[in-house]
Amino acid sequence: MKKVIIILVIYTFLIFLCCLGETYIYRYVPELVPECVSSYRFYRGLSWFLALLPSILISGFCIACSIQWKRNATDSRHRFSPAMIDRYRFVIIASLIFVFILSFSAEICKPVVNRKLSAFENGPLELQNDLKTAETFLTEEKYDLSYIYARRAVAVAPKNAEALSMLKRTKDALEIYNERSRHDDSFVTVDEEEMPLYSQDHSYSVKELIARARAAYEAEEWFDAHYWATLAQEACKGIDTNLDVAHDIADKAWNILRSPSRYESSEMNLIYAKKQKGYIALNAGDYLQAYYIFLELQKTVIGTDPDVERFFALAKEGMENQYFFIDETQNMDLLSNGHNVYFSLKNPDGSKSAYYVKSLMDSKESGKSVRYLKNLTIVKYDRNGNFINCVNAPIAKVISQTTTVFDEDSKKILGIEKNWKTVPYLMMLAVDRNTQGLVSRPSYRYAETGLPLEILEEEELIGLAVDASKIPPAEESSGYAPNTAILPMPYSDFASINMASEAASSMSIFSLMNFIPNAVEYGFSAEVFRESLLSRVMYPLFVLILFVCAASAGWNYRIESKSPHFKTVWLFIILLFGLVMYLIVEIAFYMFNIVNYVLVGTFNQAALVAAAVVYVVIFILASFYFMSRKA
Amino acid sequence: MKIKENIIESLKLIFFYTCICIFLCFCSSVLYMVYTLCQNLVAGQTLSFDFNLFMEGFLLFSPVVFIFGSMLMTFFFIRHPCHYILPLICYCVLYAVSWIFIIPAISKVSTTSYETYIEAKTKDMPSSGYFRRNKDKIVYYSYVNEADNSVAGLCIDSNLAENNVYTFSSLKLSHKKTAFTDSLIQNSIDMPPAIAITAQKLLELSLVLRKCASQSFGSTHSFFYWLCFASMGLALLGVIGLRHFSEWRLVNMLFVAMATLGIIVGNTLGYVNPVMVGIEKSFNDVFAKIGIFKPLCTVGNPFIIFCNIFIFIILLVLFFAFEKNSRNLEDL
Repeated sequence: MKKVIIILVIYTFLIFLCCLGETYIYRYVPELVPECVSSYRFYRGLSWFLALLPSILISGFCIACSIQWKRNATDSRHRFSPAMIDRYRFVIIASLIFVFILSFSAEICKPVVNRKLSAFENGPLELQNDLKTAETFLTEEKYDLSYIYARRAVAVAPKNAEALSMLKRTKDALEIYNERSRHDDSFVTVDEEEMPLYSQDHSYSVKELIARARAAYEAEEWFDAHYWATLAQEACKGIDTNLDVAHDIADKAWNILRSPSRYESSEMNLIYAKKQKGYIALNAGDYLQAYYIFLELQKTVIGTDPDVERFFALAKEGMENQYFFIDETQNMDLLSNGHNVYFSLKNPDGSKSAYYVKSLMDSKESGKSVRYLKNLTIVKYDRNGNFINCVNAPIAKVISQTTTVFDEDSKKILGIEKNWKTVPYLMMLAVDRNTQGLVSRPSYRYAETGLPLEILEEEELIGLAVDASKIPPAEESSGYAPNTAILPMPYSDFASINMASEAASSMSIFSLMNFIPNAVEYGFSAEVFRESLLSRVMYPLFVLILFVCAASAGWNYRIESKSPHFKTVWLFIILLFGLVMYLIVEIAFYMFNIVNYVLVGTFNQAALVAAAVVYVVIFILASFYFMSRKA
Repeated sequence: MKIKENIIESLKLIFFYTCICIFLCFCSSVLYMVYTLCQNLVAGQTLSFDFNLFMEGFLLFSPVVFIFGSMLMTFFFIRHPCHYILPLICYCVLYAVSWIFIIPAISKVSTTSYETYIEAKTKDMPSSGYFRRNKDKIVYYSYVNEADNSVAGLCIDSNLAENNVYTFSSLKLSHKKTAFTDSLIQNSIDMPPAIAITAQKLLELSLVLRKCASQSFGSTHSFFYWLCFASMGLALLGVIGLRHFSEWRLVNMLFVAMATLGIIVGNTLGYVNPVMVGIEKSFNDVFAKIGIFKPLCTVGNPFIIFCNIFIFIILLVLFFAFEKNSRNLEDL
């Protein structure tokens, strides 16, 4: 046993040294940031070693077994002898250790090493981009943004002189700017053109508002009374007498509102309770909930209730024009954790939308998960695949919205399934916290852009090319198109979809399992993801089978000599054998891939179970074969 | 007693050879079928058993399996060492039968009747509704019209920071340059380079066999032409001579495999490689001048034949040398 381990360890270590040696000797290195070159070489050698590791361990194990079992073969003259079963136990224990090492290397080490390598390779380009952007922002006097980019440049290339000098310049500029102007934490203003009702209501003078409030109070229209009184309070801005009056009316109306209703029929009570709930939501600024409550009320109330109509219109305005602040996304570039994310969704009316996000950043806001998107593009196609329109928002915010606010009908209209707990709520309108009129809003295209020549050639398409510089700019939204939307997908899927765009191998196994049933709807190939899942889950079992087979081969082809010495010439044989084994192991893994693909193609949903059955049967056969060996 | 053991060993050999040949032929045909199907598959389509492709794979690759028969049987002998005569005779007979009857029979059958499937079903159009990433460009087809080859959709250029989504329609797809219709499937099924090269070489070997067979059994030449080609089989027969090369069986296996590969590669290069063909021509011209070998020159390639016979003789000598050596060791 000891000899086996020693041989294996020496063998593995030798190959590791070979890999390292080779990577330093091998001249070619891609364009890199200068101080990263030696780390790049090291990681490259490491990645070669990790790729070779399975074949090294399997061939080493085979050889070690065949050397180890040179003696005492006579105790296995019959099949299934106890000595053979003892050997089997040893094989299983050793194999399990190796399987653990290999699984660890495949699931954890390889992705990390590959990510580091690609980060190194992207280094120079990123450094260039960051320095350029920092310079641009410096000239535009956006000092905080330029500082962020300078920091990024230094993170990529810590010793680069240019990056360090840029960092110093931007830091100094930022300090000077901060000292010069103290930020004014004044109130936010919003672009009021798109909210006609809201702006109209806010344009009355204090006197008018109080008059309206009083009139409503006398007419026992408590909702209206409270509404106008609240507006009056806001309009007062601290001028005393009118404020007290307004406050008084508001309070009284509110108390009467909040008290339980006293209608005769329970139906009327229900409606009143709903109205209460809706108004409270509207007052609190929860436009979404208010909108859906009043929508439902509109359907159930017989005749027209002016309250419901007015509050519904207000809620709708508020919801469609919900905004967030531009500076919530200020650290987006530094903190973004997803790039080039794409997926498609089927809309409840049969059309299809394709979504693309340049980069995204996750955050938390009052306990809820929030995601900021940069450069969001949504392309809408009808059910036949014809282009309808294309929306582009420079920045967007998505919050997870619980589905309890929607009633059955609304859920059907929005395409929300019963079992979804939260859905993404998209906001594309953003305003600057301090400057009025500085608004970021989505822009629309109603005609296709066409493809420029390079892309036409690259994608092997034939047709009329378009000059990229001559594509007309998109029109800014004019208030007729909504700036918010509910995405018809559960928020949990939305949270994990950025990983699907990277690669199936970057998703964790659990998120992969949740993602696969809907993969096709999101525009990804279910077979590819299922096959990836199958390969990763079955990998340990398959490697175990390979080790048992290697042990059988080691026994079958063990050394027959009577002399106990190990000839030194055999050491060279080990290396040669390792090479041959590499080819065999590569073929075995490729067959593993193909078999998984066939299983996925044949069994679809049940592929995982079928694969488990198949591989367990093969393992039992292999073990059986090993235990039936005899001298 | 000895006769009984002889017979038992021989029967074991025959059984082993039959089983392993059937198994390998089946596996290679299935692999060929799956791989070719995947080349024409698009995302969203399911795989299904295709008899035509299976037969095509069988016709292409089973001769190759039989060529490796001598190596497989030698592995059997290394695993079950014996010094009996009858199994050795069985070995020679089985391999001779493969070369003289089985391989020609399979290689003669033309694959054209099975190839018609591929032409009819070849689709160059990927399916709509999937995102396909090609390095830094991501393409999504919203509809694909198979009748006139037109597509509509969008293309995202992930290098640009803004204005990077292009939408298009009424463009046509040019014919696929790579063997795979759908890049999504290519990314998961594509062979790593080591395996791709091996598969390619095996296919080349198979095509050389087919060409030779069709020439032998067509109107051009006679059976004698095939026998000349079968001199490779003679050389391969001799690899059993290496079975007792060393005390370590693993080493023996390695050397047998290397010898087999060496002979096959040498022969294939001799028929296919232009440099080798040039050298052979000069030798053959010399042989043609010598009267005895004239009929040989018209039918076959004497240089290769003589090389193979030479290799066979060397291996035969080695066979006797190692047999004696191992017998002595066993008696010790």
